[in-house]
Amino acid sequence: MELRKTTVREAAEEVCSGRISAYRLIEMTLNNCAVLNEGLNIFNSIAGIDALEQAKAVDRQIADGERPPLAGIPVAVKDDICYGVLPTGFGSAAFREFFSPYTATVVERLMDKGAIVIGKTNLDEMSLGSTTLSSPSGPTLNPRDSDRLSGSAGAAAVATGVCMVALESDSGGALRQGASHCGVVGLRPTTGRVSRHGLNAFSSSFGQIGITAASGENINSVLKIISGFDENDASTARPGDEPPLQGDVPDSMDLKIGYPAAAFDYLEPALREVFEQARDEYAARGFRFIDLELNYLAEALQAYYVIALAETSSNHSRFDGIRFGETEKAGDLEALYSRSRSRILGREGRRSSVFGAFLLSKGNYDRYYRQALKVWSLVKREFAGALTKCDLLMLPAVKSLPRPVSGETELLDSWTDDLYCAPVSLSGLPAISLPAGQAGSLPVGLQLVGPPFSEEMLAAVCDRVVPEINIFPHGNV
Amino acid sequence: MLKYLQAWTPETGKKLSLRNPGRRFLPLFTEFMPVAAARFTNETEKRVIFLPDPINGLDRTIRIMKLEVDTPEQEKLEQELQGFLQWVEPMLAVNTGEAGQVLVNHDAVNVLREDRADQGELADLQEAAPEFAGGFYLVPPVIE
Repeated sequence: MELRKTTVREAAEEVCSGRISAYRLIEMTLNNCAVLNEGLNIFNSIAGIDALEQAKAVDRQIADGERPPLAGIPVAVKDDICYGVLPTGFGSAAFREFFSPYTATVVERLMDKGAIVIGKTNLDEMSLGSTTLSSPSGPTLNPRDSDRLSGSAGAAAVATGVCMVALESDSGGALRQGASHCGVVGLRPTTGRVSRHGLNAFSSSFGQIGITAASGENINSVLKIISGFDENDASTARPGDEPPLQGDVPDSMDLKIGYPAAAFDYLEPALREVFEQARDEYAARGFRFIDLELNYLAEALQAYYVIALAETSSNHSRFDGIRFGETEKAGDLEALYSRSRSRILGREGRRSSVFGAFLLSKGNYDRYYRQALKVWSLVKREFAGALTKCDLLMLPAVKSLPRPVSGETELLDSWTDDLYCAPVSLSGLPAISLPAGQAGSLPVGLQLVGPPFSEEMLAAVCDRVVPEINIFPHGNV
Repeated sequence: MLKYLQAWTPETGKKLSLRNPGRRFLPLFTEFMPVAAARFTNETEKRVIFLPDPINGLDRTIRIMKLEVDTPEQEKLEQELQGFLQWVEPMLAVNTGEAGQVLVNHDAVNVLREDRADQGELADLQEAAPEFAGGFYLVPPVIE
């Protein structure tokens, strides 16, 4: 069985029917992991024997007559999502050996249905970024072009076919941009659709767990298992808040896509051309486009950073060397905190904490933070208003092609990469990043943004316009 | 820099928020002008005045965040912060007069968990403390 040509549902059926055992499937996956990890640096840790033990347990369940819907499906989990069996490093050198005392709800729900965690994927320091450049383990390379960054390691894992599904966090767009850079599909769900219990989010308002996979169908297979109310996360939607899972997706002819043409002006010509072609292809498939305006994209990005940095400074205060992180020896308590925190937080973490504290300080709070909250409200209303005129919004997923592995990137250049993703995070709406075409040999993705809880429709539209995704079985290394 | 001043008098507990201090508050402002850089405590006057950190001096912010940052890194941080604050200027100009409350897409309900006392292992807790004597943690006598 070739994982890259099989859907999650088909693979699970193969395992349940006994044509391949979960053990054998995971054994093959782990072999691929080891090979690919050498070249691309996808995983911070690989489950090995633990994954094989889980696979044996799934085989026993099947022998007992059960048919778990995700039987034997290999899943990668980003290293900022807690999983008790493997270290959860948060992208910090200080947490390399940290074993979380509990497992995130989303991971537990997948494992309950037969999925098997094969490893924890690489990430930027404390998830602060969408390149993996600040990871203590070094950057993850792009399977399509190993001289470039993948954006997210989970997307690289899916793009190489080493696993069928990756669970990743997405605050300003790391998941969606990674999916774009690696030519796969990434879903950021509606805020509240999926539990965040067990996610070490630097930004409480925007951090969300999403799914990366090779098709909309695979995303739906996982979403229906991980979504729903969680008593450990008060921000999850309660039963009744979510509309029932949608059946057939409306015909293309019945779907109107809002196209904010001015938003595409920020792009370099090569990328703009890709999106114009994509728009033509969508129109040829029967989708109708309407022009609309999004007036606050740039300001939304700025508001995102003000709020996210402020929240980071607060959230990272827990890393004090006593409650979390290793304690450094010092003569007094103040020095103990300072030394421990400076070791736990790397350059990115220290910068975000200092910036955030500055923005929250007296005299700056109203000017920056409160204003950002008001802009957030305007952005949310603007997106909601736009979706009263159309069924979906189309936006680029990325502002530029994946960055080269070598070379310095200015701070603000790196942050403006989130131009199209961060505003959607502010809106709280679901967005799917899917391949739009290629610029040269590199994939470029676009985002479709839908109304609250419309993930199933987004995934179905994705499969309609991108019937097959080219998986690189061994990466381009 | 001085858009906001806040003065507090312990005797009265009075707290004044001053936006764009005009003639009315000028005496108060000029009184503290020589020490207005960060925080001033005068035992005689018993007044404390807070002012925003100047961008070119992150010492206090770094100290509050309990971090140790060497001089080159601090200079870099100040430079980056300056660039960041210029970058967000367009957001400050947005007319937010009609901005309402930020709403969620569903009615979030706060779920309270069971309140369970868990003392943990005392030995583990003590290991994290720098000093421990006679059943107590030793902390500095004065907390800033």
